[in-house]
Amino acid sequence: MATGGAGYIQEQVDRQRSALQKLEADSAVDRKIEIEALKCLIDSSEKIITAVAEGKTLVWLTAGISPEIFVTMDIQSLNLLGFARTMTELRPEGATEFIDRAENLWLPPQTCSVLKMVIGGILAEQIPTPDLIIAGSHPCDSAIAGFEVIGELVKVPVFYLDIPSWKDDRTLDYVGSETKRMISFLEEHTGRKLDIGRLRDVAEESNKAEELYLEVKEIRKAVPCPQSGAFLRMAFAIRQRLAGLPMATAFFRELLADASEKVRSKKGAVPEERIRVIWADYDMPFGDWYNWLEREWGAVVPMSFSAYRPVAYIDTSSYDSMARGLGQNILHTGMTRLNRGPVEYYIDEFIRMYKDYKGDCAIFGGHVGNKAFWAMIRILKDVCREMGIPALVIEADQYDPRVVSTEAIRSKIDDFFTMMVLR
Amino acid sequence: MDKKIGVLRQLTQASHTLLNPAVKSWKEQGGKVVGLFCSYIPEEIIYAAGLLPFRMRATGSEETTLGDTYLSAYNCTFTRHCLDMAFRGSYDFLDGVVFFNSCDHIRRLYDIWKRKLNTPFLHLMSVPHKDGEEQVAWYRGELTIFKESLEKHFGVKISDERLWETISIHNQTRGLQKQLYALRKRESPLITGAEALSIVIAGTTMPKEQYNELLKELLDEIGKQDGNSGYRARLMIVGSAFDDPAFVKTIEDLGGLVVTDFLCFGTGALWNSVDEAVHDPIEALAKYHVSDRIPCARMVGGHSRRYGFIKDMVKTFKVDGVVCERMKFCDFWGSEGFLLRRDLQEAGIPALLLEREYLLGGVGQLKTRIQAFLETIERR
Repeated sequence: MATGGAGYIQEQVDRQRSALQKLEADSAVDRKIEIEALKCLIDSSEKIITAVAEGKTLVWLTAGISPEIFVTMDIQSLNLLGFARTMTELRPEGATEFIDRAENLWLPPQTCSVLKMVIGGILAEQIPTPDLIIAGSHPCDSAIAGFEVIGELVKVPVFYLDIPSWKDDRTLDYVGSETKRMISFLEEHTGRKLDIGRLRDVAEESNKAEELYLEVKEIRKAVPCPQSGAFLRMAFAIRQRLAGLPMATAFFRELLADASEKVRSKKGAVPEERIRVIWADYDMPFGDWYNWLEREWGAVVPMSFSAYRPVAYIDTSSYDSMARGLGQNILHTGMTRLNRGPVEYYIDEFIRMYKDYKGDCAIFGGHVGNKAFWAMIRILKDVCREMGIPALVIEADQYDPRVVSTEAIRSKIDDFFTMMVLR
Repeated sequence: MDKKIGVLRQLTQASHTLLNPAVKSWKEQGGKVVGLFCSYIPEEIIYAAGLLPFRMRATGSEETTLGDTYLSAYNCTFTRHCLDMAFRGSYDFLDGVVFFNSCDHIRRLYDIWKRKLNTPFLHLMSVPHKDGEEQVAWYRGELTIFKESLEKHFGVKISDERLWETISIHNQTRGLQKQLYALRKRESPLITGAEALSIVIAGTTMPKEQYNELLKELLDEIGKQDGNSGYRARLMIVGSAFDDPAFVKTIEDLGGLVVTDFLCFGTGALWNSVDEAVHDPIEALAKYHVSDRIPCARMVGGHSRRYGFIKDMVKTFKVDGVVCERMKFCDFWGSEGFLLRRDLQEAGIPALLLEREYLLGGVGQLKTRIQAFLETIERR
């Protein structure tokens, strides 16, 4: 039974509601997509608050766990890392209070700040306590180790999903089996039996959204790019939280309709598209990057690391095939997809993305907590040099603007565009 | 006394250099050497292929200038020193190197090694992070692929019979090392922590039969000697990859005698044996690493087993205080140190959390902290 500490989520909802009101009041600009996205995210957070108030089962999740399973079993989940990311986006100074709190208790400063933020939030009793935790051996060392600490702090049953370094059929079979073991764990601890027919319905709903998203991805290859890079971030967040729900499908339908209409009318995300930036690796939750790039530079991000995930339909022919498909979705998510295997996984995808989306340059959003990224950055720079791709590596803490400020990063991007891209 | 010193010198020499006499001799006789980056990679398979397994260290490295061209300041200094040495040719005697997903740093070191160095044989494995039966099956699969790639590259056949032989030899090593550790339970331990660490390291760099003979000689001789007394406290050292006897000696020079450990150059790799009753040798090795040994901090959900083991060791070896060392940027031991410090304090066991780099530096600061820790223990 979830208890207490929903203050942090309530704050998130309050801030999102306030942002929504501003958007709805702004009649000068078409804000339909942002409004729909915010409604989805508010709904998702409010469900958590309601679940806590009603004492329902709450499960904390690590990165990339398929929400479809929880939708099917009617179990309330909370993706801790995504949630922390949203909080940094809405109020960075709040996030840093929690980072300090974790460090003061001897968690090493080098631990990824998103984990420190979550652990600080738990210590401050600002996140509702769960009944269960789904952790995993992904997407990075900090997350693996951080969830060990989280599990020890809250002392509830934890299931660890083991994710190998490969992406071949053997790996898919193994992750499919791990997904089934995760479902058994949920059944055992919640007393609820997964209804396979219901899972099929949810998976089919999820597939519908995937199909729409695949079209959005294709349309974004157009020059000029029809939609803001900020929409990619929204699509990622909604997929992570709401996949399998009609609300998510409706959002992707709106997203596609908007993109299609803009392409038909040859309307770009900015009046004059000057630079197409491939945003490799994650973007900073703070700093309002996409709007700033578009406004100041006419620079559009047609595709980013997190949004480029391969679309994978869940084969709904059997329970095994659905488990395999849900497992594959975990493998396809962000850092889990690119961070766990050999560097070729990253390079191949980066090159394909750069070519397909007709990039003029690449920006690597280097997060200091992501050690795997920093161990391959020189290889990535070599690849960019060999291919003649102008590349900028941002060295920052994505969850802590005190380390490198928004202004300092913007100044770096200004110099990069001036000297490397528009020369 | 002389014989003990002679054997100890041989073993210590093997731990203080990379290309020690045993490796040189092996190479001179046409033998091939394969480096491995972690104790989770079974030496037994490499040895069964007629190759000498060599646990990777950066002993002798003085800087990371070349390593830093491909690794960053956010990567641990162990990998940076290893890469630096690789770029300088210090590992040119290796005919192969085996990596696995032990951590993000080592996994990416494989990527760099593969692109920038010319070691003839490289292999990367994916070792599970948890300890269930399905994970044993997965690792069995990875080890089978590894065995086949060794056979293909080196043109050898690794029979089950030979694998059982090497498993038995390595189990004998673990048994002898445990006997050595048992001598440290005494009121006056017969060997120091720095010596014990050197001896264990030596075992990862020389043919096991030769090592086992040396260890037997040492055990015979050592029992005739007086033990170490006059120390201020009995300590246990716990933490990440740690292959520096000089670090232990610094602690011991201040009066803190290290009597046991939980290290991968220590009890983490030697305390349990591979089960020789399992029907298949690869399965036995997979089971040992995934579920039987006390899990490294990279294994998820393993904290309670690790802590339970440490508490047992504290009792058995009459430990007065635990030194938790963690290398900077090691997420696994960073978090584990946080948990261990909390749990040990709750249990009333003095614990010191030390953050370190690969090379022993800041000796003054280290001495001050150890000194303060010893005083805390003495005041109890």
